[in-house]
Amino acid sequence: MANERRSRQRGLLAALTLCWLPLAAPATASTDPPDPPPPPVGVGALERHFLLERVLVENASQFSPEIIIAASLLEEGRSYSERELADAASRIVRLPLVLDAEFSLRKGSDRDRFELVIRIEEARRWFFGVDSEITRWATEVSVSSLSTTDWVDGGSALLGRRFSIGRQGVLFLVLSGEDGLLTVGHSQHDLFGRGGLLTVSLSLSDCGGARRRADDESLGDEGCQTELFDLGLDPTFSAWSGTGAGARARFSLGLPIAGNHSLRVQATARSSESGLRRQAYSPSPTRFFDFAELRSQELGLAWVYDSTDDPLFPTRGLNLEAGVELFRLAADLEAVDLAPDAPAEPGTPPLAAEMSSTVYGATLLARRHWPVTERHTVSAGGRLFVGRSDIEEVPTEDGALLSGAADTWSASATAGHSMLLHLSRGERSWRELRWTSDAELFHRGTSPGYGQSENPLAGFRLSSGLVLRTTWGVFSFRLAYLDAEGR
Amino acid sequence: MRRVAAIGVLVALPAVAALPAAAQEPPRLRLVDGTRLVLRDLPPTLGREEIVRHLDSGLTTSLVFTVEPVGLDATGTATVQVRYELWDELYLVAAIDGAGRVERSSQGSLRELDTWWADLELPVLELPVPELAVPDAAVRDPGVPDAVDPASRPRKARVTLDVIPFSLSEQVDARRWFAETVRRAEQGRRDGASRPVEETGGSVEQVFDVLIATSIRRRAVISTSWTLEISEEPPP
Repeated sequence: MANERRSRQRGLLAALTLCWLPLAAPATASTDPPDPPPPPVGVGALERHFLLERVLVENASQFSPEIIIAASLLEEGRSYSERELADAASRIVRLPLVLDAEFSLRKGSDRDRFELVIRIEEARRWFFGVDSEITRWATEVSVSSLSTTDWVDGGSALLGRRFSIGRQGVLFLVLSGEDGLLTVGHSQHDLFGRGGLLTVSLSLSDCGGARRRADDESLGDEGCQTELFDLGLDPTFSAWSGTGAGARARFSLGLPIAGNHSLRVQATARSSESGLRRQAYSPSPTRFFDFAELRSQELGLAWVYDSTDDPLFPTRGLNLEAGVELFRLAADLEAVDLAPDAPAEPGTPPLAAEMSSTVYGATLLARRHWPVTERHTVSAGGRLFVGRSDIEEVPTEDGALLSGAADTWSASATAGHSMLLHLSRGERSWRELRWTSDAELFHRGTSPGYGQSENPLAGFRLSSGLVLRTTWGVFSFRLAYLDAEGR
Repeated sequence: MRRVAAIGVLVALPAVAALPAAAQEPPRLRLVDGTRLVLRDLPPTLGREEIVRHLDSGLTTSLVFTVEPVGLDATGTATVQVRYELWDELYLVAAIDGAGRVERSSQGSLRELDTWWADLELPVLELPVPELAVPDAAVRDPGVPDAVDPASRPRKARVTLDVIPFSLSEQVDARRWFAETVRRAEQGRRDGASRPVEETGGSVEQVFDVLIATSIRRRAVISTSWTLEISEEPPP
């Protein structure tokens, strides 16, 4: 016990050091810090109108020049102020796959007549990403393997290709993960001419088969697409890993309301033909569940307010969300005992069940970002979900079947720090390297807790790592420390 | 061993990041008449290749100086706007000081523009009236001007120069908001306990993160900042 406590303390100290080390590092003298809010164009000092004799497009390969010009709403033979030209540039940048549009003028055929040249910078057709996270758990767990460990490796690599479809559509194809997750999707921008965005995707995976051995030292191989469902869906705090073919369909619709306000509708359906279910803090080292025909669905509706300056690395602004969510989970489970010769206790029910569970409720989320200096950003926020849970025949590894209705909640509070290490821009490329750290407290559970020791579950998570964002993709590497215990 | 090496790289990285990078030559900041902060000896920004490209576009490029005295809750902004008039082949310039006064001129070539820029004196901020050094009004001699308390004047200021091409004048990247709908919808209800494993074997969230990251980028504003000493101009 004392050794375990010392080990936890050492792990916590190491994680805290990693999180706060960037604050002690001196800021690098740089000629390229993050963008400040620019002043409005045409303060009036040099304002004039330009008669555009011709409008020309350069460097466009995924879009025809006609699409670019049509998006700009500019017409040849008309005069425009600089502000109107700036608005046209913004309309072009809103096209999917257009990163930037640089305007310049040339002399026209006669005095005070001009040719407008629009030079486009397009997003790369190919993109890739590498995501790696190593988590040190305070207690040994079984989350991605049938054996217990206090180090959990997560993450994967992906390679993708996108295609422009018409003026506002993007088709994407992505291959990711060790087990070949294939995602095909389509995004349609500027829905109804009001800036809406619709995205649908289908992900297919094949996690192979789990290998089992009879001895205690190696209890089998992990599956993939591992997920720890909310306690309202599975009060046993179990990791579900696929070992066969699986599919996930996703639908997301965003509609702007006004300014930074929008509505979002999302729905996800997942199925997996086979897999493993293992309680993370398993009471039994030789018992787990096979599942077949896993089906889960999610449905959510939310109001979103977002004034942040970047979706991935915000340095200022506020994000608020309020909505309702519905989750459903169903699976056929059968216990597997790797010590089959052990006699069953009298009265132990058969460990096979057709479980189903439903959770519905309301959610609130808030996250604020502050630019402390040109390079450092701090953030704070939280998330709260409260609702009702209904479960039927959820089996536990010690032989119980859980059924009933309960209140359910999930709450978390976070504080974060981001430090810009390097930012550079070239003619057709850019690179942004950041060191990000987060500290999170969480508490979740159901009431009643169905007698499960990990319900409710509370703890904290510290993480720190590097993220590199380039023209080609995103690369991230993080270390984390997680302490989660039943209360 | 792999994990120890990874932690070592992560810890050592700040030492590398802290190495000073080459900085642009700073301007000078002078306090004139005890109240006006004026920028002089402006850095040779206009000669930079990426700036020349914007200047020659025929559309207005703005160079914005922002001055924040250390220890004083005040900010001053002055702007220089440059536009190349294609048909007259002149650089039209407008210098707008911190009080909003506009001074217009024209320069015949990039060299003349550089010279004009180097000679420019740009008032950016009118400081509040400093406190008097004499605490007791009863002992003031009406024939002797009151001395200004040197401790009340700022000694340093943070000065930022932003070069903003015309097309970046829109404040909001209109596509940012809906990138969130794609990304946050996938985050769902994950909290600290569930995050460590959900990426195993590839995650749909990672797919959308990379999609968004490579289809939206930060606006390219060229920006430089310095912390400058404020020197006092002696009275005439």
